[in-house]
Amino acid sequence: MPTIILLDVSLSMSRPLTFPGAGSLVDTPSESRLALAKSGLEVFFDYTAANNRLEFSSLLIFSSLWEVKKTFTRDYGELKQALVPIEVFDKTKLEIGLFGLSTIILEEWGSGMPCQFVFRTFQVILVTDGNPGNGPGSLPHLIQAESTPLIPLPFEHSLHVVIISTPTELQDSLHFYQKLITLDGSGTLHTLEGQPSLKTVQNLFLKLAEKCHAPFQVTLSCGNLNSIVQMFPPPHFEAAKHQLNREAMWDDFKICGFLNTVDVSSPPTMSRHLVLPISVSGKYSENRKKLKEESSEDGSNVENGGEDGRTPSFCVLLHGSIRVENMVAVVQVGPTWYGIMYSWADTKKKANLILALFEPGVHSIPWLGRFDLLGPSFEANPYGDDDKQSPFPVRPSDKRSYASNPVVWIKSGSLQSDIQKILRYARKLPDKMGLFYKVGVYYSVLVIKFPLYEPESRQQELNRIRKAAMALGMMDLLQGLSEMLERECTLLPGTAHPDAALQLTHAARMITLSFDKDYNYNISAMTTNFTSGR
Amino acid sequence: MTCAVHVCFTLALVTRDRRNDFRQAFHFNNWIGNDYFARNLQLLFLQAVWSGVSKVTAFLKMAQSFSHKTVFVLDHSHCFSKPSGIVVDYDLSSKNRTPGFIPLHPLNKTLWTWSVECILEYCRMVYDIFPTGKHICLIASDEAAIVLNSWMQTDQSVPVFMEALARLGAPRQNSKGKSDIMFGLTEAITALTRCTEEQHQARTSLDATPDKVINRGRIVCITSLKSSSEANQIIRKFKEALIEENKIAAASDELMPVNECELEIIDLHPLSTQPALTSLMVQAFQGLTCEVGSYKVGKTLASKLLTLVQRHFDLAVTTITGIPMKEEQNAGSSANYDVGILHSKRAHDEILCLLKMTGSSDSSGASGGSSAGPTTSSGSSDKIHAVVLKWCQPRLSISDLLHSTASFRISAIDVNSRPSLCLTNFLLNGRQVILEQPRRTGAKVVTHMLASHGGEIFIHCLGMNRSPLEDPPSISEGPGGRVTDYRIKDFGEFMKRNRLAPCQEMLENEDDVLPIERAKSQLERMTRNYPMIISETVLYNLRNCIDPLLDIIYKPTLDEEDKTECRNVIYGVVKMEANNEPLPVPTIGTVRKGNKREEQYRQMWSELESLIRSAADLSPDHEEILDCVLNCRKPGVGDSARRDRQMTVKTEPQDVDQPTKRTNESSNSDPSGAADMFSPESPPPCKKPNLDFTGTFGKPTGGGQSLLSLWTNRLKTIHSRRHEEFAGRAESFGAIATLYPNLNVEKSNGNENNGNPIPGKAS
Repeated sequence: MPTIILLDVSLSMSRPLTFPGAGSLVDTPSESRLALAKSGLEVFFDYTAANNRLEFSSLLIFSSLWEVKKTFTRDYGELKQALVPIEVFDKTKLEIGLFGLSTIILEEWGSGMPCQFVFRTFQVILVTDGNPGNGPGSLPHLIQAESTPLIPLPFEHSLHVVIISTPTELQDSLHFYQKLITLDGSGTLHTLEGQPSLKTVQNLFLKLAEKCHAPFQVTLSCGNLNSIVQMFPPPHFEAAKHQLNREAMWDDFKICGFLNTVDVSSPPTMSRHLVLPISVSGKYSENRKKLKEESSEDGSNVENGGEDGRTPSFCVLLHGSIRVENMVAVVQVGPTWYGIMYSWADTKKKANLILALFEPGVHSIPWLGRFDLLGPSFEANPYGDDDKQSPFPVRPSDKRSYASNPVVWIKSGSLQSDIQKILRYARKLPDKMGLFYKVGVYYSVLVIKFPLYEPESRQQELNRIRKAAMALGMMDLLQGLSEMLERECTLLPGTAHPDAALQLTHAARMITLSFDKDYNYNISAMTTNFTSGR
Repeated sequence: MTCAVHVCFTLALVTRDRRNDFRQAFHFNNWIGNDYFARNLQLLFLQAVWSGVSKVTAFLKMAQSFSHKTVFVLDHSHCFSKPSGIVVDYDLSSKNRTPGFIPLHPLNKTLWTWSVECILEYCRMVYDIFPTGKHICLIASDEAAIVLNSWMQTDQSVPVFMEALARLGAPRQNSKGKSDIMFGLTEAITALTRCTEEQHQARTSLDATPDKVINRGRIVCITSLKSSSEANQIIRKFKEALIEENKIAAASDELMPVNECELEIIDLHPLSTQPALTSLMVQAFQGLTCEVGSYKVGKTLASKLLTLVQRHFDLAVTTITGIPMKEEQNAGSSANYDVGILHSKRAHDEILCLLKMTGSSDSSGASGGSSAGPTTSSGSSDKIHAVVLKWCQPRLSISDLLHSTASFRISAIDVNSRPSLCLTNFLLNGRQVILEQPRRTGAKVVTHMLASHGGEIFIHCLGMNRSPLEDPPSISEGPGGRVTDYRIKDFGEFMKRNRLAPCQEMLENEDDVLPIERAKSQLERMTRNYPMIISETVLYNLRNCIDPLLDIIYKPTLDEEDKTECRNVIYGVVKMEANNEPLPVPTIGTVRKGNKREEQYRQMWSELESLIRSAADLSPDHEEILDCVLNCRKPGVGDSARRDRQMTVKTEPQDVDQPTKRTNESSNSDPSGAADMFSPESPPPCKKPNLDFTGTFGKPTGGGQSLLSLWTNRLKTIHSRRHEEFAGRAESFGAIATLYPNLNVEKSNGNENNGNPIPGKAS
């Protein structure tokens, strides 16, 4: 994930890296620590460009002020160029640097990374000479502060502190940085090993680069078809502050089957990764191990250019078909961890395969059901012969309140409108018999301006009110309703259907009679000569 | 897993919003027995805003959250049969229509009705948002405690509660027995000591010991207090009861002591009377927090419970503003409405984060003051997070995937209001709605989406930040990107065939394979022989000739009908070959221009054989099909051997292109090499009966051919012959196997060694 280099350019960085008591060491570099840091960073950038070329990196310098030398870019040549003119300034004020860091990340990447982006972590690399500084804004000051919005850094990150200093100097300052790492909660310290020299500095940075930007390669397989792919951005398990570890993810991502994109329906995903097929020579599994060894040996994976482009790759086939059919592949990346792969284009032109990982677990997407219960549809074919049906979404057994017409009478208005509704139906008996006793329909419906919708069937109005009144202990209401229905009966116009009066009287009587009946008792329509003919 | 996450909600809540409880949170480590937790809690506090849930998860993996168990204790004594003072005039129609009638007396809702109504609303919202994993128990307290439902999942729904409440009935007005709310409270503690299904599983799972499962719960009690001293008395008795019940539970295998408990006492009073408590009373003890407050019936009580449900379950409110609606009958009228929905607070993480960060760096704070910002209203001690989002537009096409980072179930706050119903029905009918942050200026920021999936409505958070995936390389730039004849359409069909569907959960039979494993093994079977590009295969370009076979052959088992179909296909091909019909290979895509009929048949046969060979180990029936293929190729072994020999002699490695092609195929997808390894017993000569038909190629295929085409055909035939032999060698086990038969046959047939085509003497 985006890397941000925070380079200390305080005056102390201009000191050469020699130890005072070791005059005998003629070879000790006389270059300043800044120059050493620069050459180390060049190594770092080179490695990144070779192995993780899609990584965005940025270069910041700080002393008593901070400055962006290079905003996030994938152009590592430019980054190296940006290193050249950097000079030393004044005091070491880490707080200023961290503040600059937070600001630029906010500006460039938005609101930081809430917890759902498990792998969306920034690599923060602080390069310093180990002199913690003093006074306000310095590291010791920062650590002692009661609380600061900057520690821990207000975004998901992993902090790597690189200290270019002699072992003796380190003894005095190391504990400050250790404290910083502890307070920050996620980070590592990197110090020089052995005699300080240009070589050890470069080694230090190379190791760091290997840690941060090692290519993450896995095999993507679909039965016997497979491709070796690189995931970008690579998942950083050590940086992710969650229960996942590397064991949660296999080296072999297995396609389990396919789904229609419509059925998947924009599921929440915790991270997305480009899946880039690499090196064709390992197309078949027998070559795979060899390739892996090779790539780990030289630490890089060289693209073979034109040769590669002409050898068929499963990824390209998969991508083409997925795009044409508008489907996604369900991929199992670990024992209980699933994701989907689909074709994605930033712009319309350049499409690529993307792997979107769900939250680990088999229940992550309710409307797809349990992942381990997804099975072949080969024989039963729930998709129908014309491909118009779908077994998705998986529906829960019970309805949610907004889909089941619950009774809520906290506001008087809703009670009144329920009563009004039932009276309205009562007046239209027997035409509204179904609604009165049985299936109700909302009488006055608001619709969203764009499309109309079919009003959903509702449960029995009269019985719905009876049940609600019983549950809420409002028997008075039922008594009143009974009286109202009786009164409606007397108010029926002469033109009314003769059945209306019968049904109203019946309903009114049944309400009171059913006081002692069970909750699940249903008042049903009276069977009359009129109803039978209808 | 879910439980652990809920724990985190609670903790994040505790640390974020209730700092006074922070001290108390440190007691947790006593129960966990883990110093690490305490040490990290402060860290947690600092980081809660940023990383909320994830860090805690690890610490309290085993723990259960407060919201896992909630007990409602309802005062069912005669006090609660008192009228509340809020009257509902439900007989409206008679007033308007018939002045002669005396309207019915308005209803005066009782305290009982109010408390039941508000609790049911609380439960409705909980079950909408958390269909499982959150348990509520209702207990009525009268002369004794009456438990209305259990912790069982089947008992967890509003209809169940309504039925139980209907059976219980309203409190009687003149009850003589002595009622005490302590009956209910004591029973509530007992209920908390009982395990839920999840807790039972956690306790009995292998990697956990019963002591490590922390039992937390909440008790919400609605009663009527006379004075604040009565409240203190209840709390004192409750503490004693808690200790007693915990002793009993500790001695039992089945029960769990309540490690941590929250008691919320709601003193409900009618409109007419004065509250017993003038202010909120909060008391904290080890493992117990009590809060007592007086609330009026009506809106005050309803909003108190709405606040509680938000605090207890870490929920937040989103108001969707500016929804254009119209009356169904009156298409002309349109107005904008607002609808409030409730959901997990995590849906607002990103917005809150953004505001927090812009708030600190941007001093104007315009967004905070405007409707865009979250409003924090402090009703009692609780903070309610509410965000206003603007209706942006319904999605017209739902066939593409949005980048959704999280989704949460919602519940409607005012479920039966007309705008709310309108919105929920709109969504339930399959529409999806994009929501944006209301802004006065600048580009619109799309933050959320509402959508229903399977009858449940979710709010999706949409990724709104810059993505590190921006400007990705095109797949055509990478390896394999320049190949143009991928079998895209065929693989599309393959994918449709391998679409997944939800299956029934299997019975407790260990032999059963999980459906997902079956799906993977189906893929494995169906890709045993799968050429990726068109020019690699003849067989797969002949779908109309052999189609049912390709579908049938990888079935795990074959019935008689399947076998007959396969045989028919094979016989059909044999017939075609015997009749000298050219294979209907589409010309486009076949790379080899000089692809002759005999060459195609030969390749087709070897592909067919290896296809079926790759499936042969599935069942004896599959082997039968393989035998059928082998038998069909058998006739003319001698002839083919003879021809083999003849060509061996002739061959010169002139054609560089063809052999490379060959090796490529044999290593990549031409299955013949692999097939031979499967069954070494099939001798190479057997594989070449088709060579008998080679002679047919020399025949003029029609009158319309020019001299040039005749000549080029002839030359191509010669060339193809030459490399055929080479290929044939490649197909047998290495070079040696091919060479021996050739040498033997040479002796007998020395003279027939010219390269001219021999007109079709197909045995």
